[in-house]
Amino acid sequence: MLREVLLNLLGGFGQSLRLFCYTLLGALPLGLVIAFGSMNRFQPLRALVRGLVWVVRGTPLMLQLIVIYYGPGLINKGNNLWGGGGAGRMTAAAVAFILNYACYFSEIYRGGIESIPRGQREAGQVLGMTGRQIFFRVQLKQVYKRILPPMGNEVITLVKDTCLARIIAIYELTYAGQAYIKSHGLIWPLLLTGVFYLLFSGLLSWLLRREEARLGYFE
Amino acid sequence: MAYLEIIGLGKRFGGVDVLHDVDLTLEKGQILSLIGPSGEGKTTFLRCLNFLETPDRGILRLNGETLFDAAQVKAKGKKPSRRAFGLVFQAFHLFPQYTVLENVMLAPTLAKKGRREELREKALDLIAKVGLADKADSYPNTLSGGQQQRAAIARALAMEPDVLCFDEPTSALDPLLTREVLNVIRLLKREGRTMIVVTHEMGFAREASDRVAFLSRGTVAELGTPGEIFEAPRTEALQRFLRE
Ligand SMILES: Nc1ncnc2c1ncn2[C@@H]1O[C@H](COP(=O)(O)OP(=O)(O)OP(=O)(O)O)[C@@H](O)[C@H]1O
Ligand SMILES: [Mg+2]
Repeated sequence: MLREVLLNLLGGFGQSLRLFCYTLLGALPLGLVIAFGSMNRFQPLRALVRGLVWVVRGTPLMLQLIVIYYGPGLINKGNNLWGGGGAGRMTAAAVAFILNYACYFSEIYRGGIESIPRGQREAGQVLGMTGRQIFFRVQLKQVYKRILPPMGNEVITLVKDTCLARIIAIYELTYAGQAYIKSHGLIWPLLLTGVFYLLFSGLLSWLLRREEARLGYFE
Repeated sequence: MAYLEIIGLGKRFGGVDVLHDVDLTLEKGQILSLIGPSGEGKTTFLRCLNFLETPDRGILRLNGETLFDAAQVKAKGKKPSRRAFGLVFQAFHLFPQYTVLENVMLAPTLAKKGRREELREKALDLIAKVGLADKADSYPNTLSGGQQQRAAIARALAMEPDVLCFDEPTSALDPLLTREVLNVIRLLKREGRTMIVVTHEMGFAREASDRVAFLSRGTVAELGTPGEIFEAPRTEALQRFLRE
Protein backbone atom coordinates (compact mmCIF):
# COMPACT_ATOMS: atom_id res chain seq x y z
CA MET A 1 0.00 0.00 0.00
CA LEU A 2 2.72 2.49 1.01
CA ARG A 3 4.55 1.70 -2.21
CA GLU A 4 1.46 2.33 -4.29
CA VAL A 5 0.73 5.59 -2.46
CA LEU A 6 4.30 6.77 -2.86
CA LEU A 7 4.26 6.08 -6.58
CA ASN A 8 0.98 7.92 -6.92
CA LEU A 9 2.17 10.90 -4.93
CA LEU A 10 5.37 10.92 -6.93
CA GLY A 11 3.27 11.19 -10.08
CA GLY A 12 1.40 14.13 -8.55
CA PHE A 13 4.63 15.72 -7.47
CA GLY A 14 5.88 15.41 -11.05
CA GLN A 15 2.95 17.53 -12.22
CA SER A 16 3.57 20.09 -9.44
CA LEU A 17 7.24 20.22 -10.34
CA ARG A 18 6.49 20.72 -14.03
CA LEU A 19 4.23 23.64 -13.27
CA PHE A 20 6.85 25.04 -10.87
CA CYS A 21 9.57 24.91 -13.53
CA TYR A 22 7.43 26.33 -16.32
CA THR A 23 6.43 29.20 -14.05
CA LEU A 24 10.00 30.10 -13.14
CA LEU A 25 11.26 29.75 -16.70
CA GLY A 26 8.52 32.05 -17.96
CA ALA A 27 8.05 34.47 -15.10
CA LEU A 28 11.68 35.31 -14.35
CA PRO A 29 12.33 36.91 -17.78
CA LEU A 30 8.77 38.19 -18.26
CA GLY A 31 8.94 39.86 -14.85
CA LEU A 32 12.01 41.79 -15.95
CA VAL A 33 10.22 42.97 -19.10
CA ILE A 34 7.25 44.07 -17.00
CA ALA A 35 9.59 45.83 -14.56
CA PHE A 36 11.14 47.84 -17.38
CA GLY A 37 7.64 48.62 -18.66
CA SER A 38 6.60 49.92 -15.26
CA MET A 39 9.66 52.18 -15.18
CA ASN A 40 9.38 53.34 -18.80
CA ARG A 41 9.67 57.04 -19.51
CA PHE A 42 6.60 56.90 -21.79
CA GLN A 43 3.76 57.60 -19.37
CA PRO A 44 0.87 55.75 -21.11
CA LEU A 45 2.91 52.54 -21.33
CA ARG A 46 3.94 52.90 -17.71
CA ALA A 47 0.33 53.40 -16.63
CA LEU A 48 -0.84 50.41 -18.68
CA VAL A 49 1.80 48.11 -17.21
CA ARG A 50 1.19 49.31 -13.67
CA GLY A 51 -2.54 48.78 -14.20
CA LEU A 52 -1.91 45.21 -15.28
CA VAL A 53 0.28 44.57 -12.25
CA TRP A 54 -2.39 46.04 -10.00
CA VAL A 55 -5.12 43.76 -11.42
CA VAL A 56 -3.00 40.63 -11.35
CA ARG A 57 -1.67 41.18 -7.86
CA GLY A 58 -5.02 42.38 -6.56
CA THR A 59 -7.09 39.33 -7.54
CA PRO A 60 -6.75 35.70 -6.46
CA LEU A 61 -4.56 33.44 -8.52
CA MET A 62 -7.34 30.85 -8.39
CA LEU A 63 -9.72 33.27 -10.05
CA GLN A 64 -7.17 34.02 -12.76
CA LEU A 65 -6.62 30.33 -13.31
CA ILE A 66 -10.33 29.69 -13.82
CA VAL A 67 -10.82 32.68 -16.10
CA ILE A 68 -7.80 31.82 -18.21
CA TYR A 69 -8.76 28.17 -18.55
CA TYR A 70 -12.50 28.52 -19.19
CA GLY A 71 -12.70 32.07 -20.53
CA PRO A 72 -11.52 31.51 -24.12
CA GLY A 73 -13.89 28.56 -24.62
CA LEU A 74 -16.88 30.57 -23.43
CA ILE A 75 -16.16 33.58 -25.60
CA ASN A 76 -15.37 31.51 -28.67
CA LYS A 77 -18.02 28.80 -28.29
CA GLY A 78 -16.76 25.26 -28.23
CA ASN A 79 -13.30 26.17 -29.47
CA ASN A 80 -10.78 25.16 -26.79
CA LEU A 81 -7.78 27.43 -27.16
CA TRP A 82 -5.73 25.31 -24.76
CA GLY A 83 -6.17 21.98 -26.48
CA GLY A 84 -7.79 18.98 -24.86
CA GLY A 85 -6.79 16.77 -21.98
CA GLY A 86 -4.07 17.10 -19.40
CA ALA A 87 -1.66 18.85 -21.73
CA GLY A 88 -4.16 21.62 -22.46
CA ARG A 89 -4.86 22.10 -18.79
CA MET A 90 -1.16 22.28 -17.99
CA THR A 91 -0.66 24.91 -20.70
CA ALA A 92 -3.47 27.04 -19.32
CA ALA A 93 -2.15 26.67 -15.77
CA ALA A 94 1.37 27.60 -16.86
CA VAL A 95 0.08 30.73 -18.62
CA ALA A 96 -1.88 31.82 -15.54
CA PHE A 97 0.99 31.10 -13.16
CA ILE A 98 3.57 32.80 -15.37
CA LEU A 99 1.47 35.94 -15.70
CA ASN A 100 0.73 36.05 -11.99
CA TYR A 101 4.28 35.41 -10.82
CA ALA A 102 5.79 37.72 -13.43
CA CYS A 103 3.81 40.58 -11.90
CA TYR A 104 5.09 39.78 -8.42
CA PHE A 105 8.63 39.36 -9.71
CA SER A 106 8.40 42.65 -11.62
CA GLU A 107 7.79 44.56 -8.41
CA ILE A 108 10.76 42.85 -6.79
CA TYR A 109 12.95 43.67 -9.79
CA ARG A 110 11.75 47.26 -9.79
CA GLY A 111 12.41 47.64 -6.08
CA GLY A 112 15.85 46.12 -6.54
CA ILE A 113 16.77 48.35 -9.47
CA GLU A 114 15.51 51.47 -7.76
CA SER A 115 17.38 50.63 -4.56
CA ILE A 116 20.78 50.84 -6.25
CA PRO A 117 22.22 54.26 -5.37
CA ARG A 118 22.11 56.76 -8.23
CA GLY A 119 25.85 57.27 -7.74
CA GLN A 120 26.57 53.88 -9.27
CA ARG A 121 25.00 54.86 -12.57
CA GLU A 122 26.57 58.31 -12.48
CA ALA A 123 30.02 56.88 -11.77
CA GLY A 124 29.60 54.71 -14.86
CA GLN A 125 28.39 57.65 -16.97
CA VAL A 126 31.32 59.81 -15.98
CA LEU A 127 33.66 56.97 -16.97
CA GLY A 128 32.08 57.00 -20.42
CA MET A 129 30.12 53.76 -20.09
CA THR A 130 26.90 53.35 -22.08
CA GLY A 131 23.55 52.80 -20.39
CA ARG A 132 23.60 49.14 -21.40
CA GLN A 133 27.12 48.62 -20.06
CA ILE A 134 26.15 50.28 -16.81
CA PHE A 135 23.12 48.04 -16.41
CA PHE A 136 24.86 44.78 -17.23
CA ARG A 137 28.33 45.40 -15.81
CA VAL A 138 27.60 47.59 -12.78
CA GLN A 139 24.02 47.37 -11.59
CA LEU A 140 22.86 43.85 -12.43
CA LYS A 141 24.92 41.95 -9.90
CA GLN A 142 24.02 44.41 -7.15
CA VAL A 143 20.34 44.09 -8.06
CA TYR A 144 20.68 40.30 -8.08
CA LYS A 145 22.16 40.32 -4.61
CA ARG A 146 19.42 42.55 -3.26
CA ILE A 147 16.47 40.71 -4.78
CA LEU A 148 17.65 37.24 -3.84
CA PRO A 149 15.93 37.13 -0.40
CA PRO A 150 12.52 38.41 -1.58
CA MET A 151 12.73 36.25 -4.71
CA GLY A 152 13.49 33.29 -2.50
CA ASN A 153 10.29 33.97 -0.57
CA GLU A 154 8.25 34.07 -3.75
CA VAL A 155 9.80 30.88 -5.05
CA ILE A 156 8.99 29.05 -1.81
CA THR A 157 5.44 30.38 -2.03
CA LEU A 158 5.24 29.09 -5.59
CA VAL A 159 6.09 25.56 -4.43
CA LYS A 160 2.92 25.59 -2.38
CA ASP A 161 0.80 27.61 -4.82
CA THR A 162 1.11 24.88 -7.43
CA CYS A 163 -1.66 23.05 -5.54
CA LEU A 164 -4.12 25.66 -6.82
CA ALA A 165 -3.89 24.02 -10.25
CA ARG A 166 -6.21 21.25 -9.06
CA ILE A 167 -9.09 23.68 -9.54
CA ILE A 168 -8.80 22.99 -13.25
CA ALA A 169 -8.32 19.29 -12.58
CA ILE A 170 -4.58 19.04 -12.83
CA TYR A 171 -3.54 15.95 -10.94
CA GLU A 172 -0.88 17.59 -8.80
CA LEU A 173 0.51 16.51 -5.44
CA THR A 174 -2.25 17.70 -3.09
CA TYR A 175 -4.93 16.32 -5.39
CA ALA A 176 -3.13 12.98 -5.49
CA GLY A 177 -3.03 12.84 -1.70
CA GLN A 178 -6.59 13.95 -1.19
CA ALA A 179 -7.87 11.31 -3.57
CA TYR A 180 -7.16 8.65 -0.91
CA ILE A 181 -9.71 10.18 1.45
CA LYS A 182 -12.51 9.47 -0.98
CA SER A 183 -11.28 6.20 -2.41
CA HIS A 184 -9.83 4.48 0.68
CA GLY A 185 -10.89 6.61 3.65
CA LEU A 186 -7.22 7.34 4.39
CA ILE A 187 -5.80 10.67 5.60
CA TRP A 188 -2.12 9.76 5.89
CA PRO A 189 -1.38 9.98 2.15
CA LEU A 190 -2.45 13.61 2.28
CA LEU A 191 -0.22 14.22 5.28
CA LEU A 192 2.60 12.53 3.42
CA THR A 193 2.33 15.16 0.67
CA GLY A 194 3.39 17.64 3.34
CA VAL A 195 6.71 15.82 3.58
CA PHE A 196 7.20 16.21 -0.16
CA TYR A 197 6.55 19.96 0.07
CA LEU A 198 8.83 20.31 3.09
CA LEU A 199 11.71 18.45 1.50
CA PHE A 200 11.45 20.40 -1.74
CA SER A 201 11.16 23.83 -0.11
CA GLY A 202 13.95 22.85 2.28
CA LEU A 203 16.20 22.07 -0.66
CA LEU A 204 15.36 25.40 -2.28
CA SER A 205 16.01 27.32 0.95
CA TRP A 206 19.38 25.65 1.25
CA LEU A 207 20.30 26.56 -2.34
CA LEU A 208 19.21 30.15 -1.79
CA ARG A 209 21.21 30.49 1.39
CA ARG A 210 24.28 29.15 -0.38
CA GLU A 211 23.82 31.67 -3.18
CA GLU A 212 23.39 34.50 -0.67
CA ALA A 213 26.58 33.42 1.08
CA ARG A 214 28.42 33.34 -2.26
CA LEU A 215 27.48 37.01 -2.79
CA GLY A 216 28.39 37.98 0.77
CA TYR A 217 31.81 39.26 -0.26
CA PHE A 218 30.54 42.68 -1.22
CA GLU A 219 28.66 45.43 0.54
CA MET B 1 43.65 81.61 -25.42
CA ALA B 2 43.37 79.54 -22.24
CA TYR B 3 43.46 75.74 -22.17
CA LEU B 4 40.01 75.43 -20.64
CA GLU B 5 37.41 78.10 -21.30
CA ILE B 6 33.99 78.12 -19.69
CA ILE B 7 31.82 80.87 -21.06
CA GLY B 8 28.43 81.97 -19.73
CA LEU B 9 27.49 78.61 -18.25
CA GLY B 10 23.96 78.45 -16.84
CA LYS B 11 21.67 75.81 -15.41
CA ARG B 12 18.06 76.11 -14.25
CA PHE B 13 16.15 73.72 -12.02
CA GLY B 14 12.41 74.25 -11.93
CA GLY B 15 12.59 77.93 -12.86
CA VAL B 16 15.45 78.71 -10.49
CA ASP B 17 18.84 79.74 -11.86
CA VAL B 18 21.08 77.47 -9.85
CA LEU B 19 24.01 78.55 -12.03
CA HIS B 20 24.21 81.61 -14.21
CA ASP B 21 26.84 83.45 -16.22
CA VAL B 22 29.70 81.31 -14.98
CA ASP B 23 32.90 82.39 -16.75
CA LEU B 24 36.16 80.64 -15.93
CA THR B 25 39.43 79.90 -17.62
CA LEU B 26 42.20 77.57 -16.59
CA GLU B 27 45.66 76.87 -17.97
CA LYS B 28 46.97 73.39 -18.61
CA GLY B 29 48.51 71.81 -15.52
CA GLN B 30 46.85 74.20 -13.12
CA ILE B 31 44.60 73.50 -10.16
CA LEU B 32 41.48 75.57 -9.72
CA SER B 33 39.91 75.43 -6.28
CA LEU B 34 36.25 76.19 -6.04
CA ILE B 35 35.04 77.45 -2.68
CA GLY B 36 31.77 78.83 -1.48
CA PRO B 37 28.85 78.41 0.89
CA SER B 38 26.71 75.29 0.88
CA GLY B 39 23.96 74.90 -1.69
CA GLU B 40 25.17 77.62 -4.06
CA GLY B 41 25.88 75.46 -7.07
CA LYS B 42 29.37 73.97 -6.73
CA THR B 43 28.26 70.39 -7.27
CA THR B 44 25.92 71.44 -10.04
CA PHE B 45 28.82 73.15 -11.79
CA LEU B 46 30.95 69.99 -11.76
CA ARG B 47 27.97 67.90 -12.87
CA CYS B 48 27.51 70.24 -15.83
CA LEU B 49 31.15 69.86 -16.86
CA ASN B 50 30.75 66.10 -16.72
CA PHE B 51 27.40 66.15 -18.53
CA LEU B 52 25.56 64.53 -15.66
CA GLU B 53 23.42 67.63 -16.15
CA THR B 54 23.04 69.32 -19.51
CA PRO B 55 23.77 73.03 -19.13
CA ASP B 56 21.00 75.30 -20.40
CA ARG B 57 23.40 77.98 -21.53
CA GLY B 58 27.06 78.41 -22.20
CA ILE B 59 30.04 77.09 -24.08
CA LEU B 60 32.82 74.72 -23.01
CA ARG B 61 36.06 74.87 -24.92
CA LEU B 62 39.17 72.82 -24.37
CA ASN B 63 42.41 73.51 -26.17
CA GLY B 64 40.48 75.51 -28.76
CA GLU B 65 38.01 72.67 -29.44
CA THR B 66 34.35 73.35 -28.64
CA LEU B 67 33.18 70.46 -26.47
CA PHE B 68 29.76 71.83 -25.79
CA ASP B 69 27.64 74.69 -26.98
CA ALA B 70 24.20 74.96 -25.40
CA ALA B 71 22.82 76.88 -28.40
CA GLN B 72 23.83 74.07 -30.76
CA VAL B 73 22.61 71.35 -28.44
CA LYS B 74 19.22 73.05 -28.28
CA ALA B 75 19.03 73.63 -32.02
CA LYS B 76 20.26 70.25 -33.26
CA GLY B 77 20.02 67.99 -30.24
CA LYS B 78 23.75 67.56 -30.69
CA LYS B 79 25.31 65.73 -27.79
CA PRO B 80 28.84 66.46 -26.61
CA SER B 81 31.13 64.50 -28.88
CA ARG B 82 33.84 63.62 -26.44
CA ARG B 83 34.33 63.13 -22.76
CA ALA B 84 37.11 65.44 -21.64
CA PHE B 85 36.38 65.53 -17.92
CA GLY B 86 36.62 63.05 -15.13
CA LEU B 87 34.86 63.29 -11.77
CA VAL B 88 35.75 62.05 -8.32
CA PHE B 89 32.69 62.02 -6.08
CA GLN B 90 32.35 62.98 -2.47
CA ALA B 91 30.97 59.50 -1.67
CA PHE B 92 33.45 57.59 -3.89
CA HIS B 93 30.86 55.40 -5.64
CA LEU B 94 33.22 52.51 -6.23
CA PHE B 95 31.58 49.43 -7.76
CA PRO B 96 31.24 47.17 -4.69
CA GLN B 97 31.30 43.83 -6.50
CA TYR B 98 34.68 44.49 -8.10
CA THR B 99 38.18 44.57 -6.64
CA VAL B 100 40.19 47.79 -6.80
CA LEU B 101 41.95 46.52 -9.92
CA GLU B 102 38.67 45.54 -11.57
CA ASN B 103 37.17 48.93 -10.69
CA VAL B 104 40.08 50.68 -12.39
CA MET B 105 40.10 48.40 -15.44
CA LEU B 106 36.38 48.19 -16.14
CA ALA B 107 35.77 51.40 -18.07
CA PRO B 108 38.94 51.33 -20.20
CA THR B 109 38.25 47.68 -21.02
CA LEU B 110 34.70 48.44 -22.13
CA ALA B 111 35.96 51.43 -24.12
CA LYS B 112 38.53 49.12 -25.77
CA LYS B 113 41.35 51.46 -24.86
CA GLY B 114 43.95 48.77 -25.40
CA ARG B 115 44.89 45.14 -25.02
CA ARG B 116 43.95 43.54 -21.74
CA GLU B 117 47.53 43.10 -20.57
CA GLU B 118 48.41 46.72 -21.32
CA LEU B 119 45.32 47.95 -19.51
CA ARG B 120 46.20 45.78 -16.54
CA GLU B 121 49.74 47.15 -16.42
CA LYS B 122 48.44 50.71 -16.63
CA ALA B 123 45.82 50.08 -13.96
CA LEU B 124 48.41 48.58 -11.61
CA ASP B 125 50.67 51.62 -12.18
CA LEU B 126 47.82 53.97 -11.28
CA ILE B 127 46.94 51.92 -8.23
CA ALA B 128 50.56 52.04 -7.08
CA LYS B 129 50.64 55.77 -7.70
CA VAL B 130 47.75 56.36 -5.30
CA GLY B 131 49.50 54.15 -2.76
CA LEU B 132 47.27 51.08 -2.94
CA ALA B 133 49.66 48.56 -4.53
CA ASP B 134 48.94 46.05 -1.77
CA LYS B 135 45.19 46.54 -2.08
CA ALA B 136 44.74 45.90 -5.80
CA ASP B 137 42.84 42.68 -5.16
CA SER B 138 40.78 43.96 -2.23
CA TYR B 139 37.08 44.71 -2.39
CA PRO B 140 35.91 48.24 -1.55
CA ASN B 141 34.10 47.20 1.63
CA THR B 142 37.42 46.14 3.14
CA LEU B 143 39.05 49.56 2.57
CA SER B 144 39.07 52.70 4.69
CA GLY B 145 37.35 55.80 3.33
CA GLY B 146 40.67 57.33 2.34
CA GLN B 147 41.70 54.17 0.52
CA GLN B 148 38.36 54.03 -1.27
CA GLN B 149 38.73 57.63 -2.38
CA ARG B 150 42.25 56.98 -3.66
CA ALA B 151 40.95 53.94 -5.55
CA ALA B 152 38.25 56.15 -7.05
CA ILE B 153 40.94 58.62 -8.15
CA ALA B 154 42.86 55.80 -9.86
CA ARG B 155 39.65 54.69 -11.56
CA ALA B 156 39.00 58.20 -12.87
CA LEU B 157 42.59 58.54 -14.11
CA ALA B 158 42.33 55.29 -16.05
CA MET B 159 40.09 57.02 -18.61
CA GLU B 160 42.78 59.67 -19.11
CA PRO B 161 40.58 62.74 -18.65
CA ASP B 162 41.96 66.09 -19.81
CA VAL B 163 40.58 67.77 -16.73
CA LEU B 164 39.89 65.88 -13.51
CA CYS B 165 37.22 67.27 -11.21
CA PHE B 166 36.85 66.54 -7.50
CA ASP B 167 33.65 67.24 -5.57
CA GLU B 168 34.60 67.69 -1.92
CA PRO B 169 36.81 64.61 -2.11
CA THR B 170 37.64 64.64 1.59
CA SER B 171 34.52 65.84 3.32
CA ALA B 172 33.51 62.27 4.22
CA LEU B 173 36.94 61.61 5.75
CA ASP B 174 38.64 62.30 9.06
CA PRO B 175 41.78 64.53 9.13
CA LEU B 176 44.34 61.75 8.78
CA LEU B 177 42.61 60.19 5.77
CA THR B 178 42.03 63.65 4.34
CA ARG B 179 45.78 64.16 4.27
CA GLU B 180 46.34 60.95 2.29
CA VAL B 181 43.89 62.02 -0.36
CA LEU B 182 45.14 65.59 -0.59
CA ASN B 183 48.68 64.26 -0.96
CA VAL B 184 47.57 62.25 -3.97
CA ILE B 185 46.09 65.41 -5.52
CA ARG B 186 49.38 67.24 -4.88
CA LEU B 187 51.24 64.39 -6.57
CA LEU B 188 48.96 64.67 -9.61
CA LYS B 189 49.66 68.38 -9.74
CA ARG B 190 53.40 67.71 -9.88
CA GLU B 191 52.68 65.45 -12.86
CA GLY B 192 51.06 68.39 -14.58
CA ARG B 193 47.42 67.32 -14.45
CA THR B 194 44.74 69.93 -14.87
CA MET B 195 42.24 69.77 -12.03
CA ILE B 196 39.20 71.49 -10.59
CA VAL B 197 38.66 70.86 -6.89
CA VAL B 198 35.57 71.81 -4.92
CA THR B 199 36.77 71.93 -1.34
CA HIS B 200 36.11 73.17 2.14
CA GLU B 201 39.80 72.64 3.03
CA MET B 202 40.90 76.26 2.97
CA GLY B 203 44.49 75.33 3.86
CA PHE B 204 44.67 73.10 0.81
CA ALA B 205 43.02 75.66 -1.48
CA ARG B 206 45.46 78.32 -0.36
CA GLU B 207 48.64 76.28 -0.63
CA ALA B 208 48.02 73.87 -3.54
CA SER B 209 45.92 75.75 -6.06
CA ASP B 210 46.93 78.14 -8.82
CA ARG B 211 43.55 79.80 -9.04
CA VAL B 212 40.68 80.08 -6.59
CA ALA B 213 37.09 80.81 -7.55
CA PHE B 214 34.51 81.88 -5.01
CA LEU B 215 31.07 80.70 -6.05
CA SER B 216 28.17 82.55 -4.55
CA ARG B 217 24.51 82.67 -5.55
CA GLY B 218 25.18 80.51 -8.58
CA THR B 219 27.95 82.51 -10.16
CA VAL B 220 31.65 83.27 -9.82
CA ALA B 221 31.69 86.17 -7.41
CA GLU B 222 35.46 86.38 -7.19
CA LEU B 223 38.35 84.79 -9.05
CA GLY B 224 42.05 85.13 -8.42
CA THR B 225 45.27 83.70 -7.11
CA PRO B 226 45.15 82.19 -3.63
CA GLY B 227 46.93 85.33 -2.41
CA GLU B 228 44.28 87.63 -3.87
CA ILE B 229 41.37 85.57 -2.62
CA PHE B 230 42.60 84.82 0.87
CA GLU B 231 44.66 87.91 1.69
CA ALA B 232 42.63 90.56 -0.10
CA PRO B 233 39.01 89.50 -0.55
CA ARG B 234 37.10 92.27 -2.29
CA THR B 235 33.45 91.32 -1.94
CA GLU B 236 31.67 91.36 1.35
CA ALA B 237 30.25 87.87 0.71
CA LEU B 238 33.74 86.39 0.46
CA GLN B 239 34.95 88.28 3.52
CA ARG B 240 32.03 86.89 5.47
CA PHE B 241 32.59 83.37 4.09
CA LEU B 242 36.28 83.42 5.07
CA ARG B 243 35.54 84.64 8.59
CA GLU B 244 33.34 81.63 9.26
N1 LIG C 1 18.38 67.92 -9.67
C1 LIG C 1 18.03 69.05 -9.01
N2 LIG C 1 16.77 69.50 -9.07
C2 LIG C 1 16.40 70.62 -8.42
N3 LIG C 1 17.24 71.38 -7.70
C3 LIG C 1 18.51 71.00 -7.62
C4 LIG C 1 18.99 69.82 -8.27
N4 LIG C 1 20.31 69.70 -8.01
C5 LIG C 1 20.63 70.75 -7.23
N5 LIG C 1 19.58 71.54 -7.00
C6 LIG C 1 19.59 72.79 -6.20
O1 LIG C 1 20.62 73.59 -6.70
C7 LIG C 1 21.25 74.30 -5.64
C8 LIG C 1 22.75 74.10 -5.70
O2 LIG C 1 23.05 72.78 -5.33
P1 LIG C 1 24.51 72.19 -5.32
O3 LIG C 1 24.43 70.79 -4.87
O4 LIG C 1 25.14 72.44 -6.63
O5 LIG C 1 25.23 73.06 -4.21
P2 LIG C 1 26.67 72.91 -3.55
O6 LIG C 1 27.32 74.24 -3.68
O7 LIG C 1 27.38 71.76 -4.12
O8 LIG C 1 26.35 72.65 -2.02
P3 LIG C 1 27.13 71.77 -0.93
O9 LIG C 1 28.28 72.60 -0.44
O10 LIG C 1 26.10 71.57 0.13
O11 LIG C 1 27.55 70.51 -1.58
C9 LIG C 1 20.61 73.81 -4.36
O12 LIG C 1 19.68 74.78 -3.95
C10 LIG C 1 19.92 72.55 -4.75
O13 LIG C 1 18.77 72.36 -3.98
MG1 LIG D 1 28.00 69.87 -3.30
